[in-house]
Parts: sequence; C-alpha cells; structure tokens
Amino acid sequence: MRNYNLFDELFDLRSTVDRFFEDVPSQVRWREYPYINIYEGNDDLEIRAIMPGVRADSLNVQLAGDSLLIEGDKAGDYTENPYLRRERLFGKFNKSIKLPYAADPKSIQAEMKNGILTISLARSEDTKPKRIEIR
Amino acid sequence: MAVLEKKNNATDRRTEERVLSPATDIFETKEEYTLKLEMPGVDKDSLSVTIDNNDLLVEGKVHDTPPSGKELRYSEYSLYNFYRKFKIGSDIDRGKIDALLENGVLTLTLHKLEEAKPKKIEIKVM
Repeated sequence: MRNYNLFDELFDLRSTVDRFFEDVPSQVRWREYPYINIYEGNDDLEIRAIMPGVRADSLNVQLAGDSLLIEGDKAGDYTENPYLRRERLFGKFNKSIKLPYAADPKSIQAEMKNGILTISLARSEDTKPKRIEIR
Repeated sequence: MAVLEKKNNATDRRTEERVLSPATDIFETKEEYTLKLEMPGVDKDSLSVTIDNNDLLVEGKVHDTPPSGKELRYSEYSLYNFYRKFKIGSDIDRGKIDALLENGVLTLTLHKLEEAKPKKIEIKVM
C-alpha cells in the first residue's frame, strides 16, 4: 500500500530536469563491445578487454600500424527450457582501437583468462623518437 | 561439486564496499535449475557460493590489478567484486549444488529434491 504524495512527483520532475542537463550528448560516451582499458609503459602497451563467455578460438585480433582490431563471436548458449531470468547478451562484435603509436606486429601477444582478454604490444622501432646528431 | 561455506558477514560487507551484480540467466528443467552468471576476472579460488536458509549467495573477488610499470591511459570499465543473492525454494536439494567456472562464466546447477520432481501418474486400465 502506497499513499499518493504530490511531492514525490515534484521531486521526480526535478530529477528528470537534472538528468536532461547531465546527459548532454557530448558527454554520453557510447562504447562498443567489448569494454577495454589501455595501460601504457615506457615503450609498450597492455590492453585488457572484458568478455566473459567468449571462447578464445572465436576471436580474431589484428594489428595494422597503430590500429588494433578485436573481432569475435560470443556464441549464445540458450536452451529450449523456460527461462526465469535472461540478462546475458550474445552476438558478433568488432571493435577498432586506435593506439597512441604504431606497434611492432612481431611483439603482439594475446592471452585469455577468466573472461578477460589481455593483449601486449611493443612500440615499433620506426616510431620511437630518434636523437638527431648535430654536426 | 562446489564446497559450500557459510559466511554470515556477506550482507554486512555489501554495505561497505562497491560491488557489481553479475548478469544472470536462469532456466528450469524437470530435474534442476541452472544459473549462468558472468563474472569476469574471478578465478576458482576467489569464488564463494553459499546457501543460508533460503538465500543463495554468490560472491567473487576480482583479480584485475594494473600491470606493474604501466599506467592506465584510457579506461572504459572498472571491475569490482561481484555479489548477488538469490532466493531459493524448498524444492532445491541444499546438499547437491554443482558449480563450474569457465571463461569468466559461472554455471550453477541446483538439483530439485526427489519429491519435488514432476511425477508421471500411472493410469490403470480396468
């Protein structure tokens, strides 16, 4: 049993207005699956991507200069049985990540553990800053 | 077979720290209920599945420490420990729950008690 209270709606309206001003389009960051974090070392990077339920053999990771592509298929495991809850999402995905510099294709290493994909990359020799001899 | 460990402080801890609720699918067959929970970053040793009366508690500690010598430059996610509580009915066998953790997805199988399973009634033809 809930009593009607005019002030509830007033407060609701206020939060609606607040939300309108908070959700400015430029601030809403829409992110493609999977969500990633990028860690930077001296001349190397580590990228972690969250993808529980994605099998390593369904993944395709490609490097082209300073752009890294993660492509995969999170295969559905739905059964014919009646569901009490269905919150997980499945499907194909691809995400292109712009790296701060071109990476050496020979340095790329990828590992999948507990539903987190970890990709390690080293900066390519050609893009490392060079000291110029002054004669 | 999951080792069931009773923890009384689970609900208290929830109010202190930020937790994530794992996305879950639950389906039912004649014999059992199956739960599939997405818990990335959780390994077998940091996972706890507990039954407390009619509550099924699933807790998982996340291992996602930043790599040493590297700094976070760009971030789209933050992982926290996982916590979720489910109510279970009296038709579930408390002593027989299977747990399997694979690729960051935990599958729990709750078996129904023998007397709760649907039974076929024999009809005798006279």
